Amino acid sequence: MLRLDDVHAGYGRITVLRSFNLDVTDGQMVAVLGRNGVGKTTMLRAITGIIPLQKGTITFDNQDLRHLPVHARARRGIAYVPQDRDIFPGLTVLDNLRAAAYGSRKRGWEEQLDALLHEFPILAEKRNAQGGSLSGGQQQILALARALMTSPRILLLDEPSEGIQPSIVDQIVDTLRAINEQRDITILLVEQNLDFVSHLTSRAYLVDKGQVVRELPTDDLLSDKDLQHEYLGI
Amino acid sequence: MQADDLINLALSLLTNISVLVIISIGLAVIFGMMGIINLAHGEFLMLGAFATLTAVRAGLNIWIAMILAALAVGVFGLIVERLLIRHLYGRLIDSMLATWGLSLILIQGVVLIFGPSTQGIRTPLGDVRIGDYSISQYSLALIVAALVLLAIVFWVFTRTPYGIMARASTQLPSMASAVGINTSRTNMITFAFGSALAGAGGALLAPMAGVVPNMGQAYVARAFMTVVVGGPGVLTGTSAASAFLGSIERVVSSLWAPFFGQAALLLAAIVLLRFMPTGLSGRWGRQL
Amino acid sequence: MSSGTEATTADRKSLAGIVRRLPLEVAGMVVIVVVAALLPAVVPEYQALQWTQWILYGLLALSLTFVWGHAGIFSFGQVAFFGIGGYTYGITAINLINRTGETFSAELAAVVVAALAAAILGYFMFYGKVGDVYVAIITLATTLVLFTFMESTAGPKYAIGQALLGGYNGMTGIPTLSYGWPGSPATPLSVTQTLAIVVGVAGIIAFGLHILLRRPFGRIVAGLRENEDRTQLLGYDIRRYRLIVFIIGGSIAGLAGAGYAAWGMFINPAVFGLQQAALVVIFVLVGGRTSLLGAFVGAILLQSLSTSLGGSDSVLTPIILGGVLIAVVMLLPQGIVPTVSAIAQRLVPQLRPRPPQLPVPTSPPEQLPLPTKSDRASPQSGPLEAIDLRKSFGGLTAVDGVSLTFAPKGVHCLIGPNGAGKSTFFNLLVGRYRPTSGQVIFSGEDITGREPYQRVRQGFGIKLQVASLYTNLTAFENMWLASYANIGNTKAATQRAIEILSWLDLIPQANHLAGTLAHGQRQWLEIGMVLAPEPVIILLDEPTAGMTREETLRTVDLVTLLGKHASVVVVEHDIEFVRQLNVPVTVLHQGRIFAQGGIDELRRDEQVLEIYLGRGGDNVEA
Repeated sequence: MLRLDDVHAGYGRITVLRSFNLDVTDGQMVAVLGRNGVGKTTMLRAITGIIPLQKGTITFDNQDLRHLPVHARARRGIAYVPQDRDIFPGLTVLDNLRAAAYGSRKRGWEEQLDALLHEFPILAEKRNAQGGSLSGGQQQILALARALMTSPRILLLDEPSEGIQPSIVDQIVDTLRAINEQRDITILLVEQNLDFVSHLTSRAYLVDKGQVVRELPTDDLLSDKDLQHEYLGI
Repeated sequence: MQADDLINLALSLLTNISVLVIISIGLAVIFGMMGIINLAHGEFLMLGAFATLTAVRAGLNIWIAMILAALAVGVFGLIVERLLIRHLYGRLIDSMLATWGLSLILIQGVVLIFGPSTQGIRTPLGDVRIGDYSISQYSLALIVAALVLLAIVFWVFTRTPYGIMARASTQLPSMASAVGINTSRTNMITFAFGSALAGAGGALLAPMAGVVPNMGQAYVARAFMTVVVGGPGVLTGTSAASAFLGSIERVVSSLWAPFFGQAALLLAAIVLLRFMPTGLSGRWGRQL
Repeated sequence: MSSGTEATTADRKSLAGIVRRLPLEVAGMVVIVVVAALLPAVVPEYQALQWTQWILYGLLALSLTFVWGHAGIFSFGQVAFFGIGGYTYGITAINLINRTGETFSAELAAVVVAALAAAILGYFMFYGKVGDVYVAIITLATTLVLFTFMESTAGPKYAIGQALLGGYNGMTGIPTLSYGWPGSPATPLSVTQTLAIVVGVAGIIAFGLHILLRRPFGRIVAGLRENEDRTQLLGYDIRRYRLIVFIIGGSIAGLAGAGYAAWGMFINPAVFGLQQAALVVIFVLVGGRTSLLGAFVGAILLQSLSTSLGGSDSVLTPIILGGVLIAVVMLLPQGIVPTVSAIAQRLVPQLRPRPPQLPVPTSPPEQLPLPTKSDRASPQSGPLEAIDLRKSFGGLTAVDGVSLTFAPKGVHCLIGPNGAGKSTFFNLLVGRYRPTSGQVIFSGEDITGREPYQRVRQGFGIKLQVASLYTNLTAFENMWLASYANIGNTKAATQRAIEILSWLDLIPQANHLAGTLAHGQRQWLEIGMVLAPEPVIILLDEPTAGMTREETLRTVDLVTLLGKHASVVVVEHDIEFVRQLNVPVTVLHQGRIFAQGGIDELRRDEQVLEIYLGRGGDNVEA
């Protein structure tokens, strides 16, 4: 469904990703793991189109994304939850959700909105609060709900567990599993938190210095302490 | 002081503030939402006045004429955005210069079409007596108009899909794109909306001021100062700045002369900017 | 570096060689001055009158080119000073001419008053830390205030001495340039004589500016234009430089205004108007923002264009002007003179400016350009200590009681997972943040309240995460500015800049623009700039960010070498770099020290692995 072929990407003259290869099948839940600075966020930005490719191709549903601008990719079903959540701070919770609805132009968004408010009571409770006034965990849930408003085919998440209280992290784990199984949405998870990933994904990609160095079942990674030290520790 | 003195003073203050709101709101939308400084703003006002003039001469009711004029200038703004402004996002000084060039062309273009002399539209409403004073009803209408324009801006940005998308694009442009918002398109509409508001402003001014090709020049300085003193908050900033500067201008004008009123407005703006460079709404963190 | 020293010496001596080495602008200036001398014999009166006005506008444009093109201050206020100069000349000349018999004192008065006005406005803006756009707005507003004010001074009661201000009608009866002695009647200059003087003065001023821009002052101003933050971090007081530039610009504009009033024997508030202000900007844009010659070219070109279209009252003129403005902004942002220059240089290689001759480095490359203890005048190089530093942002505590001592020599690494507080801690050491509690002690002195540039002056070398160079200046110019800030002597600064560039192995790139260097080279260049003031504490925030593997390994060598002579604190993400460096490491986690030791033992530590995997400790937010 989503393929990165020999991708080189970066910022200006800096190249962060080099010969980056990735292949995600429809319906999978996949983790991309690695230390800070190896290029995980850069990869997500390249997929969404926020940064251009220096070399290589990204294919989604057999279509080359090269000439598609960011908003067009979003409308095709690529949803992104960035590391900082990027909630629209001056918009209310409801308007944050509506913004995504209007942007992605999906029919029947009002029902979708109601369903999401039902599924995430905290959002219903804070529906008229300014986005910027929510706590980190609440913003994370809002960002997730906002992504779902676009009826995506694939969900890209950048370190969703970072800086969030354990109880909400558990909630997010359950939600993501439900999204993948019930709504049949493919999930690509960028993380450093092995625990979080272990409950969710079947496959893991290890990234180091801008390249994928290993691809293996998540369970194998969990039992391989040396690998963890090598690529996730110091 | 007598009651009618007070009422007269209050009304004339409110009228002055309202005029500032009317001439600035269009510029505020464009500057606040897009960060573009449109130095042709005065000419957009002027075009609104001339469009109203033309429509009235063609026999239309003056209020209808004003609405049509606003729409016409909105369309014109759309064209300007696609041809010129679109290439200048993020280039603040360049956008100022290019729109300045546009303003020179527009003024002269209108001179060629309409001739350089002043023309007039009769003020549509009569006068009303309050105590010893005879107040032009039109100046009261301006107060209502200012409130209506503010209400329209509020409604558009909080209740319409475009408005929510535009605010999202202003707050976090990449994230807005990532949820499917075509920010290039919202920018286009924002500029057109701001232009339409400017056109409305000019239309409303037409019965009050002489309609002449360089009339925009008289207002652009004040509009500009109001917007900059107001800061990024389109509604809160414009209202606060208009109230602040408008009061100062009115008071100084009535104590000395209209010229000094304008000078006082400019000086007040300079001093305020020196201490609050992000404007009144910037300091207090208001978003809209 | 530079090949064939002998050939260039011979070259230098020949006339062709001299001419070849003169940049286009100097040649232009020389031509102007020569022409000025010849003019009275050649030019008919009518044209002389017109050309005088053009040159005066050119001088006004020149003031904007200097202030904007070279110093980066976008000021709408040049016309304000032009008008102030003009009115001052008028008032002074009308009152004094019968007593002194000359008008040059009036010219002087005009310049002085304009300079004073510029000083006041400049102080108000620059010492108030007002940003770029607001300088533009405030200067615009000032011009408009003057316009409004002068428009309203009609009537006999608005007079200074014998000079009636005249309101919107303007001030009439202004004497033209005249010479003579006190007591005797003034002898006015003829039209062609006036032209000669105006051309000569304009040429001299332009030439003077040209020379000024080549001196250290000019280079610093260029740095200020290119990258304000970087210039501040090098220790320069940018407010003072801006103010000086602004006063010079205002004086030139004032002089031009005085000339204008003398030329037309009349002045009115239109000089303060929006159209006039627009014209000056157009002249400068068309001519070329950074070109001194271009100021005159732009003015002359546009004025002659509008004259041939039937004068400034012509119907088409504003449309053409507007069109030109838009066209230049969209299509030819460099302006005419630089574009023509570039084309000419491409076609005629001899016209290309030679890169400056840089002295050959005297010290061998291996020797470190850092002082030994005996070199420093005031050896303030005690340890850097953080004592129980705490920093909270609202409800979030980023640094939660960190105490560390950094030895006077050696490298120390700070690492930690996301949210550990490394960057915050770094910024506390550097002075970009004030701690909520705790202290930063250097050499026994409490420096907790000091600004970064003050710490730089005390011996800190600071390299922030985001690269901050003068991308449009050469590597040498970058290094020179860094050196000059501390040394204050042109030759010595040049020497030091060469030394450091040579040590970094960047001599081949010395005359390349910093923006064209590879990323790794840019990072090294910036580290070099940090070294220029001979720091004793060097703080580096992610120095290897964006580097290739090879570049990273070289940086390891560099940093190790630095550690032999100074105290180096490195915040890093790149674990490979930290491993290779092999120095004491402190691991931060959630704002506190989690572990310390050598990298090898920390690598094997299970608990350290845990925190990197996101376990261990409470997560902060709800």
